[in-house]
Amino acid sequence: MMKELHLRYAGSVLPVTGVLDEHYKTQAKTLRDLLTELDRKYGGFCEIFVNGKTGQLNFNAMIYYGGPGKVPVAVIDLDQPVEDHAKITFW
Amino acid sequence: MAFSVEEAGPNQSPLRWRRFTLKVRENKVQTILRVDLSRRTSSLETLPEAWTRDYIGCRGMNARLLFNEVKAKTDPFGPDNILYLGTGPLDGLPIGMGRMSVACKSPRGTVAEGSFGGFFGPELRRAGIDYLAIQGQADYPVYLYIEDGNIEIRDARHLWGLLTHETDATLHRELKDPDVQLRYIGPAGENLVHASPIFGNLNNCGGRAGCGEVMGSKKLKAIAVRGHQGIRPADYDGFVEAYKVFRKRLDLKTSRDMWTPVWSAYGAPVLVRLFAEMGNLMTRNAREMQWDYEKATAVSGEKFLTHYVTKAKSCWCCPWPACQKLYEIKSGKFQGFKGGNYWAGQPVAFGSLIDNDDLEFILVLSGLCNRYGLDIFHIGYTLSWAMECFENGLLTKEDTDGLELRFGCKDQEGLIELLRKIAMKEGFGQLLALGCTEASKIVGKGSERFCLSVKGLELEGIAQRSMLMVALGIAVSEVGPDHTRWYPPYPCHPNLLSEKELAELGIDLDLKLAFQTRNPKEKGRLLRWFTISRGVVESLPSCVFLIRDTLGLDMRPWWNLFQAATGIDLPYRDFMTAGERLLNLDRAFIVREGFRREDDRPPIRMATEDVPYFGFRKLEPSLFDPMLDEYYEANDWDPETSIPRRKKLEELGLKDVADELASLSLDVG
Repeated sequence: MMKELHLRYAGSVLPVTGVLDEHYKTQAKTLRDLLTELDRKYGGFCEIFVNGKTGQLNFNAMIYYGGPGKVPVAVIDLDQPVEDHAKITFW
Repeated sequence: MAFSVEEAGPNQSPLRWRRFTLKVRENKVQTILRVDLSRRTSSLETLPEAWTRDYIGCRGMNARLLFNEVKAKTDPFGPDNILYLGTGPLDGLPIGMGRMSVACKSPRGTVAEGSFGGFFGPELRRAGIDYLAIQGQADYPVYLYIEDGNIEIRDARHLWGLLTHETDATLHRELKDPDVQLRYIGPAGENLVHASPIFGNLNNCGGRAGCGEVMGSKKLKAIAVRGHQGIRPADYDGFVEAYKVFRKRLDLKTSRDMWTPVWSAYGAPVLVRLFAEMGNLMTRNAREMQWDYEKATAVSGEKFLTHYVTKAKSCWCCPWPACQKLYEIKSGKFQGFKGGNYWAGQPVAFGSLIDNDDLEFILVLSGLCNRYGLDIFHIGYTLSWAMECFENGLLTKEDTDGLELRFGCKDQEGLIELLRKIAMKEGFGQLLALGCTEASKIVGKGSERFCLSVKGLELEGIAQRSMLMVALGIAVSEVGPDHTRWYPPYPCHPNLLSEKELAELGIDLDLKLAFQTRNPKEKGRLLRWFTISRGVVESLPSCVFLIRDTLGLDMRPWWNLFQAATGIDLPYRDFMTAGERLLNLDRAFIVREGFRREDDRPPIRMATEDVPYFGFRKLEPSLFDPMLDEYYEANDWDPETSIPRRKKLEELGLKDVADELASLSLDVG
């Protein structure tokens, strides 16, 4: 199912994306899928967030996930599902 | 060792310097230069070496001096209030330790303490002086000129009334030395405007709890210092090794801290967009916590950096990319306006609080505050209080000198003029110059509900209902709201330190629980730890921005730097106890002035209004009091009164403090 997300990129990610935010259509099921997809669009994106050895979120990066109508909270598990109309901030 | 005070007089006659032997300074023993502006005398004393062990320096030493020397019920604006400017044993070593602490009794009775960066602290040490203690009051405006241990009290009548940047330029021109370091006040400090800080290096300021007001009451316009001594660590090789370990934690690639890369490039205003969506932006006087994302983006650090920054600037030898930014507005109606520094506070104080999304106008208001010597939070929160009063009919155009004082800031010229009136205490500005707490007492009619202050001092940029440790930290602080006393609002990632490591460090905290920002549990104990550890860092001194990676919990890198710098062999536990001593001295100071548990409270609005959109609860007693109890219990303070207990004070070697409190009939148990 195609989902529309509002992706927001904080300062340090800006040099990679070139935009502060975007509305993005995807079929990604989890955050990990989304990161892989974004890495194809913005080379090096995944490396910022995913630790190559452990596959987990890097300690010096943060993702805030806000489900539809909900307050964004810090992500711990990259395998959490992505919902339609979610707002996701990449730090 | 005493130095005579030579007065140069209004015509600035040439100095008669005595020969001063230049030397390389060490850091074990610290000196204090006492200046009495009433008697026009000065003396240089050496502080006991044991004080470096017990209080380290800077903020810790200032707390000790303040408690000892500024007695209970001293008139804050009288000659007996003492203004301290303190450095520390790491100050001036080329590793980014250029902070200094200013302290005195605040006009509201609390501790007035703040730290700021720049270059003054290292220069003071290079002049052979670690602390300045300024008491008395001059008959007419003066400034101090200190060079390598010599001091003069000079006429400053020609400087009185000048804006801060004018004072800076005039003194540098007169002294013919671009490297002389200055601290000064603006017209706001001269006119005893509420919460005026002390300024330096144009845009740095510290001591927003009223240090500038107290400096103004002494008719002291500025302090100029120049030194030529060297400063070296006692154990050079050990120091280099300790520095390598410390520096690794700040590395942009390897630091295990999400803030490190973001902060390094953009500084604190990069938080604005994130705050907006997390319910952390106090909007329209915190009536709401939801500001449009588009508005937040318009005033964000990213926009500031890409549109206005002309130069990045750092403090003394900072190991991080320069976090201060100079800016210029290059077009539009504010074309040509230049200023410096844009932190997370400005977009709140002059942005969301008053519902202004015009970044250029924020930069103008912020820059003007720096020039007048005003505190941005005093102005931001007092303006938003006045706007809410106006919109509710509690203030009218007759009160505001005809100004339509509404959220959204349509009348920008009117607000710019109002800022001048506040600094000069003219017209409607006289009311706002008192700060929102005192102003609301005069206006009455329920306007106290709109007043966002604690212990008489306006809040800062960080919201409270969304982060419970912040709420507690702001409420209990001995100076009033000051996030730097316990920053950051939650610990590094809980998985970074194992339980074994925590046990080795003597930290008995459940970090996973502490990491949950809206769970009230473990917040009192976490706050205590953060307050103590920040006290240690600010006593060295260093900058809170350098507390990255695990440096906020694992204090051994700081400890190693201290030992190598001073040559003092101090057990780790004793090193950390210095922070606890500092906290207890500050608490003893304010309870001596009459502050109690009931003063450790969030503002009325935060305690009585939920934030439904984000689901944040109001900080009502059922939520707030258990955190407060946990904090008092962790500190071993009386839960009913917040007075430190004798047993705890004696444990910390502060028997004299317990005796002093007991002599004033305070129940220390």
